[in-house]
Amino acid sequence: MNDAKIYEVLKQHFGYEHFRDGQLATIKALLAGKNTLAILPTGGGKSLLYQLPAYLLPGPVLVVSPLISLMQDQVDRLHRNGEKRVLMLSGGGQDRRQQLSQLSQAKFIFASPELLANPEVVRALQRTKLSLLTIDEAHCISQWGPDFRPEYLLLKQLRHELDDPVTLLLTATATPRVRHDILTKVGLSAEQVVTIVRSVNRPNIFLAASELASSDEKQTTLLKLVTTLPGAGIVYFASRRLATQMAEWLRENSTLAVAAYHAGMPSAERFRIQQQFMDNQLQLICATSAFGMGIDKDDIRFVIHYHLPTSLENYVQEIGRAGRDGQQSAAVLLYAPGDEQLARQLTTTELPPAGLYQKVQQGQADRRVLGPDYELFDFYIRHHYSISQLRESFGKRQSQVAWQLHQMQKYASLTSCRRQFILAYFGESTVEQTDCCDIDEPGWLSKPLLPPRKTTVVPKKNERWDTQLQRLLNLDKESNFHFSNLDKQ
Amino acid sequence: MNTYLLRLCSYRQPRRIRVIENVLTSHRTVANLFWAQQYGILEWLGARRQANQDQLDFELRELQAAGLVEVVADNQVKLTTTGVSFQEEQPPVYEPAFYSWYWLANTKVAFLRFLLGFQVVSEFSYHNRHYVPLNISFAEQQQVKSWFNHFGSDHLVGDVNAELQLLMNSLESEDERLPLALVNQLIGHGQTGWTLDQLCNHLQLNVADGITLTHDLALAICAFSRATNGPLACLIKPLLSATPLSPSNWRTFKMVSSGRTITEVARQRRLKVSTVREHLLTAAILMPQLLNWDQLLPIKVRQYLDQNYQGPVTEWQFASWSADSNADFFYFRLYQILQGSQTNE
Repeated sequence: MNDAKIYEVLKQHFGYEHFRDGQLATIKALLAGKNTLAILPTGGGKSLLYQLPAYLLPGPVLVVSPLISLMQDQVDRLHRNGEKRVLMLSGGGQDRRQQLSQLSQAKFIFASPELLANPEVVRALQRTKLSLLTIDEAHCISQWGPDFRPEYLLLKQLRHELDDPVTLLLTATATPRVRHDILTKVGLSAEQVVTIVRSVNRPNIFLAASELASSDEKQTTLLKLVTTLPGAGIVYFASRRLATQMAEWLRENSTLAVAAYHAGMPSAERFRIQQQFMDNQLQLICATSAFGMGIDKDDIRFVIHYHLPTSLENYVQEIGRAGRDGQQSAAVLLYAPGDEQLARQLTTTELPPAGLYQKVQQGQADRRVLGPDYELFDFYIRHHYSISQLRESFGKRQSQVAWQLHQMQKYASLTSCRRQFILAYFGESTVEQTDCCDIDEPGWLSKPLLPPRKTTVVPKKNERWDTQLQRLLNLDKESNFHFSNLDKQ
Repeated sequence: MNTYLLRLCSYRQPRRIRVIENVLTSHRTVANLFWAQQYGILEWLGARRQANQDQLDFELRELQAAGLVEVVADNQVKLTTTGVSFQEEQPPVYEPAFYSWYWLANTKVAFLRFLLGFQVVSEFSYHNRHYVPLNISFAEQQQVKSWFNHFGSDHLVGDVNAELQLLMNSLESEDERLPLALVNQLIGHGQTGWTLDQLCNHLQLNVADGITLTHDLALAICAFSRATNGPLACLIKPLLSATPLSPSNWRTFKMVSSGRTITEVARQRRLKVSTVREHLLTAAILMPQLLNWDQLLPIKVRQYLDQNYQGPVTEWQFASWSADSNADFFYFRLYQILQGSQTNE
């Protein structure tokens, strides 16, 4: 495939003239039929890596993605681009049967690893000649594999069942150890894969953290930050309830247009909030981590964490939603004593007693006796894990999780450069840059670091309902029932 | 603080928390429907399908902490005197007008379908294909897609406009906030629509009134769709129930009404006798005026019940009087429903 053709598709379907660093090399490798592991920083344009080849390859692209919200963001983005041949496999029963019957018309198919463990889905995909298998957020294979999302472990088998299609493994954050783990779990060796790595560093994101004595102090600091930092921002919380309460509190105590956003909200509310944020009608979103896994807003100026994330991998992913337009942005972590307890709770999985596990394994007890995580343990039972294998696997994972959380705590309490700490964590060498972090510039908040706030779009007020309806339906005011510009197109 | 649950509580009558929750989320068991009828909150069936137990418990705890309600024995809740004063000083500023249509549809599904249908028409009027459609279930998307394929001609935009003008005018005659709420909840070209907070803010409602109004609006759309034949009404019609009873329940009811006994219906329909009884109790609660009470409550049983059960029906304690305690309980409940509905009237 020559470069000219690739650039033509870039212009025609995406409206860009140039590729970002690492994109062209990845796309060329894929089009040459090579399995590729692409580690590009957040905001590096990873979705283009499978979207562009889809227009140059004969069959559809299957994208395996860990979260529905992430898939939905990708689907929305394709719709916004005018692409309608998109199918997100979800749900069961009639919905799924209908979806599978439409596989042949799709150019982009999205599915979670759990859904791909279903034989009916696999059989339908086998009949569809896939041109590319993409595993998005591929670090989940390593990060979540043994405990949280065991179905990731089945992707190796799935790939084989689908006739070993050319595979793209995508991630923004992977230490050398994780890279190795990703390949092993997918059943590929380093020699079978082209690896394209770009630095995890996002030079335009200023890094800051505040250690605060109490939750009251944390709340006051948050208010100061959101009223001082210009532009659109996201504040991440560990719980839906707190995200909702703080959104209300910030609305009452500032002039900002604030909304809460989490997966427990009605779908129309989520839709409205996401679109209003994109259109700059909302300035601040108080969210749980479900928000913005792939949000297509490039001018988010700051990301604040009100709670300690469970790992630097997660943190770097989440702050990476800031500054995709390349302009100066900021990431602030607020940390109060005891925060690590909450993070620890979120990452701890209690193993069931050996006797109970064996009873379920032998069909002498219902799997529900294994506690709230019974579905997780059921996976291992179905795949013939003994209790000692389970213990070993979980033990390893638990110490890894504890280490990751410890690194996160260390980051929050650093007295040396935060950026160097992150780069070292991901096995990269140090960089020198200005506007780096609060250790170098303790008075950063009083400086005009970020570009000025864009004008907030205020929706029209006091419009009569009939005028508003006519505008929504593009009707001429004088003649109610005619298109105003049907003939002008 | 969300004061929504205050409307469903009473000072005189302690009410079961789980019944209130099950009514709001439309969990239709005979027991829930019976208690909903006794509490006089049947019309709130399905009024908050989005809410879950955690959320409602949280709202209740807040009301409790503010001293407006108290939780009494058996997980029941009642208004306190402070709660009564609060309601008198700050009465709801929105009174629903369409709640008697509570049985007409699952308003959550119907409203989302309505929103997506309108969005498609709005973007179509601007010849825009580059937009993000409202995310609803795949099956629902397919319904909207085939509806659009059927209706999508040059007339569609004008027809939808005429239809909505009619709907908005009817809504305006009921309450002038309703057409404003509807037009601003629509999703369309250049408009994402108000969130619940924004709706409350613009219409100066508290969140409880905002939720009540939104459900009322969805019921109004369903009732309008039932009576008209515009394109959007045709999109909604397949979601509407013909009667407050489910089709299966309705069949049982019709067969019994035509003179068949419960045992005959159970045999013919291959249902358990207990299921047929449940169908009849549901019909007694939801459509009491259509029931032939004399046929269902034999005179001797009625006399026995008249003698043994008096006073407030919610305080009656069931005790079997024959060898068939299931049949006894059916008669007891039926009699309770009959007496309860007469008291409520």
